[in-house]
Amino acid sequence: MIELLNVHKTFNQGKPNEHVAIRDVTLAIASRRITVLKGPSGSGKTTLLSILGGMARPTAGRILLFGREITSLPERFLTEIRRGTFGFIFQHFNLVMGISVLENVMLPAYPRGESHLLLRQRALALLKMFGLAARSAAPVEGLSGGEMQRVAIARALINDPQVIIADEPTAHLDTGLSAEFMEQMARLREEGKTIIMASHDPLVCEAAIVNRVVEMRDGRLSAAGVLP
Amino acid sequence: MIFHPDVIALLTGSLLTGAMLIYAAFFALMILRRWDLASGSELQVSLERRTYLIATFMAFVCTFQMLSLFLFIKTADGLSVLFSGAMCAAGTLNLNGFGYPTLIMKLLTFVLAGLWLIVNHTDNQGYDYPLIRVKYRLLLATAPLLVIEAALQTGYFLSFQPNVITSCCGSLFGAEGNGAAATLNDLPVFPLLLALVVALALIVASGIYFIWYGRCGDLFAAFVIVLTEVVVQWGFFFAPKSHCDILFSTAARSIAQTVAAAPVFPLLTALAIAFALTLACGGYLLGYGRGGGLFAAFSTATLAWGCIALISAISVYIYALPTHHCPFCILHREYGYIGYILWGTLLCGGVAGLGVGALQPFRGIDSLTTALPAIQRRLTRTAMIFYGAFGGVTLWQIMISKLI
Repeated sequence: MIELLNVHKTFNQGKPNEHVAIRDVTLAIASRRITVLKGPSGSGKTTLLSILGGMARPTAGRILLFGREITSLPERFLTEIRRGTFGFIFQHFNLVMGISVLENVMLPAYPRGESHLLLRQRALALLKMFGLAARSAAPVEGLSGGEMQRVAIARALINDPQVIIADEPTAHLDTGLSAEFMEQMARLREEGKTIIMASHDPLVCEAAIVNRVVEMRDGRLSAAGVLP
Repeated sequence: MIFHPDVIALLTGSLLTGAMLIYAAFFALMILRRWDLASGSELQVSLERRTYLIATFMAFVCTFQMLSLFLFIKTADGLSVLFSGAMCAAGTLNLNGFGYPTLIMKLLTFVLAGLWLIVNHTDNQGYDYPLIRVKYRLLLATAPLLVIEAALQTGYFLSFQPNVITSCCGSLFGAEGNGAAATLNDLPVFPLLLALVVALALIVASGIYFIWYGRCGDLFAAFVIVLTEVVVQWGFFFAPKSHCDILFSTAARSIAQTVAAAPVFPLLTALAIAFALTLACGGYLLGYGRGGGLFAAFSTATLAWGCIALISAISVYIYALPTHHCPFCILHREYGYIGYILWGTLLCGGVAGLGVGALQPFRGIDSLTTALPAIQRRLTRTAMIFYGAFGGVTLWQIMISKLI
């Protein structure tokens, strides 16, 4: 269970270009479910995902992760939680160019200081699971959009996180690849992962596998509220 | 004022650290008044963020403060060639009424800055800011002293009179004089060295014991204070003049004279009682399997005894002159800058040892259950290494001395 309590986020506070991205959001997200944050551009979905995943801190409010308050944690403790609990799939995938597919997948686990051999084996197993074993040594520049996305998913799973956070994951995919992505998310949910996505793509928001849709507008949960 | 690079560096450093301290002190007040980890208010979240900034630059301030002690002495020593009568820092510091008070304040702030760094490091190991109020209270206690020290230092450098003929270290720290140093010098050499060796042995023994068992006793905190008070501020107990006279008199010699009025026998009796109490309680605590507080107490004792012995007994072996006790001449090139090693190891060992005791009351905090004993063990090892180096170098200097 992830609980947000009166979360508020303001950028450039006190300056002429001050922008309030999140306004007093209180929300509970169930574990082992797929939750989608739905809303137009600028509604605060990405900001809320960043705060949820510990990549940004709120201006006010608290977040409880499995009962533990995480927003007040000093940076080194928050980093440890971010690294071990969350796996991120970014809108533009954010793969590191110039290195191989395998190295991209292994990258988030390097700070944990695991045995390189074990890490490599785990990364190869993930690539095999996503049908990319043959491409493990290839540089990421040569991958197709679908392959890039699967590498991004494999990378998000390398530290075996409990929560997968995906920001507009289907924005650069065609219908077939989007459907394939949603199937992969359904499989991860069955494995016990909690999945939180931000999207305004109907293929995501209206997918049967989604357990809950949270509508946002202007930084607030919309009047329509939380569905279902 | 003399436009010497070291003087400018010290004054600029003091100005910058003073400004940062004032800012940090205001923040510390806000932390003490408004900190509430249970709240998710905008103010609380803002305090949580800003404490990183404050703690980071305070760490730089404290590190600079510790280094500035040695820079100050080196500067005073280097300026001695410009003044008639001065042979080393002893004479230069005697040029006006600010020199020795500045040195005393720098020694005090050296210890406090070291303790602040230790408390801050420990606080950073806990996920819930376990020592945040402690470290900001300590900051508030240290900040005025640092500001006073900066003011004294500025006064010292701005009050140089080129026509003043100062005293040389021979008269200030001569055994035949009646100054404070002279009183220390009159202490018998053999018992002092014996006391130092015993203190070092106890430090090493209790350090090994503490690292092995990782347990401490709170009872010793009181005796640490007693020892520190008696040994470091002994002049204040017996001095017939007021404290202000001691700190702000116009000549270092008057400080020496004031402190020298202290009768030696009551001082030594007080020291002996404090030491006996420490040892007795040490035995009691050892029986119950505790050693951290013991270690902190003996570290303090070693620091105090080491300072006295260095001036009174060890220096004569280094100079190979039974009548010369200057604590500054050993910083010169002709003595291989050995004074920096001796004073540095002694002070750093003292700070690390005191740090073990300073952290002792916080061993029960949940978020520090694992980290704090490990930090105490590291500090213990650090103190033992520094004191071991001090003892080794002292022994080496005595063995190669022409007095042997």
